[in-house]
Amino acid sequence: MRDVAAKLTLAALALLLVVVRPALAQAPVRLTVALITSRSLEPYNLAAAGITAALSDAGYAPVVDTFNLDGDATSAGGIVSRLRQERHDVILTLGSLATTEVARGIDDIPLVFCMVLDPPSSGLTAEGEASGRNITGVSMDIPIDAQLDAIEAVLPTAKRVGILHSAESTAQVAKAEAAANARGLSIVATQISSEREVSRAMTSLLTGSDVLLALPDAAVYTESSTRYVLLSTLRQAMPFVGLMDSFVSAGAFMGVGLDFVDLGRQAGAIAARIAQGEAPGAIPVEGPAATRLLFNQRTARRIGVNIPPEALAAGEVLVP
Amino acid sequence: MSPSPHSRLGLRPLFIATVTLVVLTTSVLLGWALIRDRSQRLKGELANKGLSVAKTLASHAQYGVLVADSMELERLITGLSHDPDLAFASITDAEGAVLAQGPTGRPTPWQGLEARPVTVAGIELEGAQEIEGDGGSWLVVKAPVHAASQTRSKEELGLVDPTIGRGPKELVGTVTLVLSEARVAQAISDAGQVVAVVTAAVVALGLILTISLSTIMVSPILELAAASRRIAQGDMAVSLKEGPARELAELTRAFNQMSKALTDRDLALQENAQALAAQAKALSERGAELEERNLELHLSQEQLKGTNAELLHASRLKSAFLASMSHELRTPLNSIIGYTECMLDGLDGPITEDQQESLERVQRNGRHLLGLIGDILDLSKIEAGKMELSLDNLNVGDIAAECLGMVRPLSRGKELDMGVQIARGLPLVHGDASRLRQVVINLLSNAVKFSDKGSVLLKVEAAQDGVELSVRDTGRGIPAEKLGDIFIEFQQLEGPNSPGTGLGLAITRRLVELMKGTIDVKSEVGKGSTFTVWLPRAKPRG
Repeated sequence: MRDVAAKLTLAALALLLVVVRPALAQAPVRLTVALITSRSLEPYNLAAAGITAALSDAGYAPVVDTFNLDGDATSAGGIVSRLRQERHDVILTLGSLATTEVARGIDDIPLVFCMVLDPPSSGLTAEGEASGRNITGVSMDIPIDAQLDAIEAVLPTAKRVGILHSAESTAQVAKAEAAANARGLSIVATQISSEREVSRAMTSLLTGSDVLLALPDAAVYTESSTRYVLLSTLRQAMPFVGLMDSFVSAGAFMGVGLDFVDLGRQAGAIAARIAQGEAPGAIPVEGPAATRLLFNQRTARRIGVNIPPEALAAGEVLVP
Repeated sequence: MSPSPHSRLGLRPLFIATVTLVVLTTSVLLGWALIRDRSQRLKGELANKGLSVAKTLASHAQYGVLVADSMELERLITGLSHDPDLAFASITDAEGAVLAQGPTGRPTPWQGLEARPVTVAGIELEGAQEIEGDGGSWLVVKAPVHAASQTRSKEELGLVDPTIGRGPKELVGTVTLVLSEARVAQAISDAGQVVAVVTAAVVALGLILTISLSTIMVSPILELAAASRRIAQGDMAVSLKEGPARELAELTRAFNQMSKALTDRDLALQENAQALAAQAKALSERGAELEERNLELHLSQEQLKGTNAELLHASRLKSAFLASMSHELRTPLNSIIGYTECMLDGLDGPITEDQQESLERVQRNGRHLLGLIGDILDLSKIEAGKMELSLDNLNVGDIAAECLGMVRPLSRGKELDMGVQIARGLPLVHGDASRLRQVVINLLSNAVKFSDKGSVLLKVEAAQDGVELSVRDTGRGIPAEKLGDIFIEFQQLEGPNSPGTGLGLAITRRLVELMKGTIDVKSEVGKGSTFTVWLPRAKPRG
């Protein structure tokens, strides 16, 4: 419903622009855009809509060529050669797969990435830094402070934040520890090498922490281990702060999510700046401008947590 | 030969048997269908629940199977132990090795028994089998444990459902659940009890209704039969209350009408019989009476005979006495009249006028007395059978004319026309001339005597087989009631002081009858009388 509402809003805005721009007596500037998506996912569609909307807002008439990798890196070669030929004003990529593939082949056309988690792990510039090349963009990293804010707001008594991670997210763990310490919270981090160690690690985490915080770690959160984690936290009445909407819908007690349309808008705004003449290499990579607080009331009842009314009012209840 | 009424079934047992059979059959069939349907449905529900639980368990067991974590898997199984239908659960890996099973310590009587597919409404349930044994029956449901072969990127973790893997699924193990059908059996047994109770209730209700209905229908019929029997035995006064059903009411009404008609007919017959009896009684009484009367008549006849003989004798004695008395009276009377006449003629010397008057009175009364004695003598002669007629062939016309001449002087001093009509060629009659003369004179003198003015007509004419002589006067007439008396002796119309002796007409009738003739009279008061005498004609001589 939210997606539909967002689409309707966008459509309404686009219509408004078409009507309003001639009144401004300033003809929209034609802008050719290439949009490359890693795979077909609804969040990518939302972000794409945000991008177009932002470009239109900025006074452009974007002409969008859309490409889809469908999760297959081997198809990237053809797309890249076409991009080289067509030479769009700006290239936008959605997801790390599309971003890394296009970035590897194109270095002379401005590239703005979106929906990329942990850009440095994909060989991209970190948040807040400018690349000095043809690449900039918006990351999908949920700010650790937003997550700790949520934990403090909803679970004021929770002091020990358990984190299950693998080697690939050590940097995030370090960041989290720093942020937690600043607030007087402690991070109980358990590193594992594969999903097979999840049950053992969970045994200690379930007793040694007050809340379990999920990090985007593909080695830890596989299909089966995620089920196991959800099941065991539910069984032990352990509040599990999951990743975005998907974890909360699957059964996590709460989560911090993003507005993908907004993320797209952020990327679109950057593309507009580039179209206006700014050098992509000079524009620092941005993080998400806003977050959403998400709740699963069913799980909250199951594990016996009363969500404070003000937190509930500020957030969204995905599962009532 | 038809069977006797008692060897046949009555309506009531027939009704009851039929209704019971129908209700029982219907109830049993319905109950069987109901229980069968319920059993199928409950089994289907149990199998579906088992499959759903098995799938959920398989989904949750994915991690445990992948990492061969028996403790985790046993924990999952224990989590299911609250399910009352679950008898046994096991989780095996892809090779079939048991990773976990439980709940522990429960008997497993189904082991070694053959399992067969479960069908619900004709459709075979995939993944479910049924085992039946002495200890009960069980459902075995299986669910595969699949795992995705590919892992997702960390980026996609937040974008899609983290519990659904990507890439082709790989069979990593199997979840097997054994569900006891005890609760299903109990539910079916309960349903069976309900069906039995309902069946019993329906049968009871059916019986009550049938008995009531059959009573309603049969009682009037039995009453009719009893009433018919009573009527057959002669008790007609039978009236039945109308039956409750329309047809029975109709029947009862018809019966009552018939009964009433029979009663009426019976009454009529009784009345007839009574009337007949009364008539018979009356007849027998009348017979007795008649017999009595007959006897009486017989007696009185005898008596009358005696009396008659006595009377005849007495009458003869009287006539004889009168004849001799008349004769003895006439002799001195003739002397008195003769000597009186001599004195009147002056033979014994002159007499005074007074003496003459007295003597004339003596002579007149003497002559009257002499006439009376003559009449009495005639009458007694006739009654005594001593009147002798000198019969001859007579010409009535001549005698009548002669008599009229003799009577004419009597009419002197009266304004009377004395007429005579005598037909010519009259036949002769056979009679006594002097006696006939006496008859005519008598009739003529009576006519003159009782007529003061007008006329006296003597008529003689031929009549059938004889001659008719009639005297008509215009006198005072005779009342009709007295006409029968005038021919009887000493019956005078005028009373005792009237002229005549009261014997004239009686003697006239006797004389006419002696001559084989008849006399009758017609008269009208104030207008006159007509006396008619018929005399038979004389038989030709030879």
